[in-house]
Amino acid sequence: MSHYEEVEDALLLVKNLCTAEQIQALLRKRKGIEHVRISAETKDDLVDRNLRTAVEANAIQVGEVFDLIRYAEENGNQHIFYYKPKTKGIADALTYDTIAQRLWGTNWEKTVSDFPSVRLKPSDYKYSDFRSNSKKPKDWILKVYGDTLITRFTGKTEQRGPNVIWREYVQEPLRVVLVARWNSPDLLELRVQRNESRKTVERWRDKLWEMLSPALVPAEFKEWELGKTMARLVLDDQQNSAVYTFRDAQVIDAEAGVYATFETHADQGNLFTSIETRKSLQNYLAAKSDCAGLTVTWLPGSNGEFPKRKRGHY
Amino acid sequence: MSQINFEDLANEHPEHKRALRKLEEWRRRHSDVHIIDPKTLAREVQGVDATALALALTLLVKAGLLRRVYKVTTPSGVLADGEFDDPTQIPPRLPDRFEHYFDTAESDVVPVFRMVA
Repeated sequence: MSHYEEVEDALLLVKNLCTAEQIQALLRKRKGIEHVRISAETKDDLVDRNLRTAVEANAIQVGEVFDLIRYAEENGNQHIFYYKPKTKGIADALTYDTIAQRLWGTNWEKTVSDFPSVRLKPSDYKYSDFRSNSKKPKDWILKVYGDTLITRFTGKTEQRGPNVIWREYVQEPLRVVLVARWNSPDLLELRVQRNESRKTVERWRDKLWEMLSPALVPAEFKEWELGKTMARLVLDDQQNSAVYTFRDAQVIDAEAGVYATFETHADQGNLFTSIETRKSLQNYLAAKSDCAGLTVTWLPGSNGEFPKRKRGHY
Repeated sequence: MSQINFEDLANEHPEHKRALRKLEEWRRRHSDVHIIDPKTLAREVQGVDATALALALTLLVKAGLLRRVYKVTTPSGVLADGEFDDPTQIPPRLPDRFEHYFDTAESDVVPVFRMVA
């Protein structure tokens, strides 16, 4: 594929995936350089005029545009499945080179050098990126793109004559992004995009396992049980008040058959501003109830790597 | 919504000075909040009645410091994630706080305010 087509695809992806704020942050890095303009009336102008001009004038490198896409695609709005390798031997074998060799054979370096590949393969899945993390060299990320059609209910319903109800469904193309992340020494994440259908989410997860299968298989891993970790987060809340807060929690007292749900009214709320809620939740968990769900707001860190609040549903 | 903006507005509209001051105090205590829910605000801001607060919010909208957006309540009555510029943009289904999707046609739509600056 030509460089021109890659740039066109990349700009389209930026428009669809990135916020105006993220695009402006990239442009702002080159503020003051000729052909770099930051403000725009609309997001279309921001991409089609400002970013395109900056890329064409080489004020911004295409690689930086890919990084922007990577960030938007690989973080947030995803379901994440966590796995732990069953043995240390399995974990130790999951190096970047070994995985690449198992996936693409001895000429893997040539394949990897062509990544990222943003163009979709019609009605199919393909490897689109594989890279290690410069800050944590034993970690790696594999990305798979899929091209599929989905049938979506538009919400339109009409009564069309006696006993006839009409509901409108439309078929739409969907770009599927599947990501496998290895976090050395012992955590594998399979990330699939958010979807209303649990079955679809599980189908995508299985597809990702299938794409990984020349290199690793589910039998080598066990699911990471998050219940205890969630309970620990709640019980240790006061020591970690600068790190996270909670917005919602679900606990199950299996012995008494009681399901309790706590939610703040505001979507930016903090459950533990209510002392009674803190006590109730901690009492449940201290009595060995199960934590079935938790919405954690991770607070910005001091090292600048994590500049904004981030929310996770567990 | 900086201090200067409040100060300018209060000077331009002395009849709303008290409500604007109270709003400014609230804002200082909640600098990380980007969405203002009038219901929460009325509960947390003491000493100003709801009408005066509503008028002060309208002034901030007119001054371009706030934008009116819409949120949807979940079946349990809390605000779902996501906000919409117009109620017609609300999708037919949204996830609640625990990723269970619900029909928005059955839900309340709540006008709230988003910080612009």
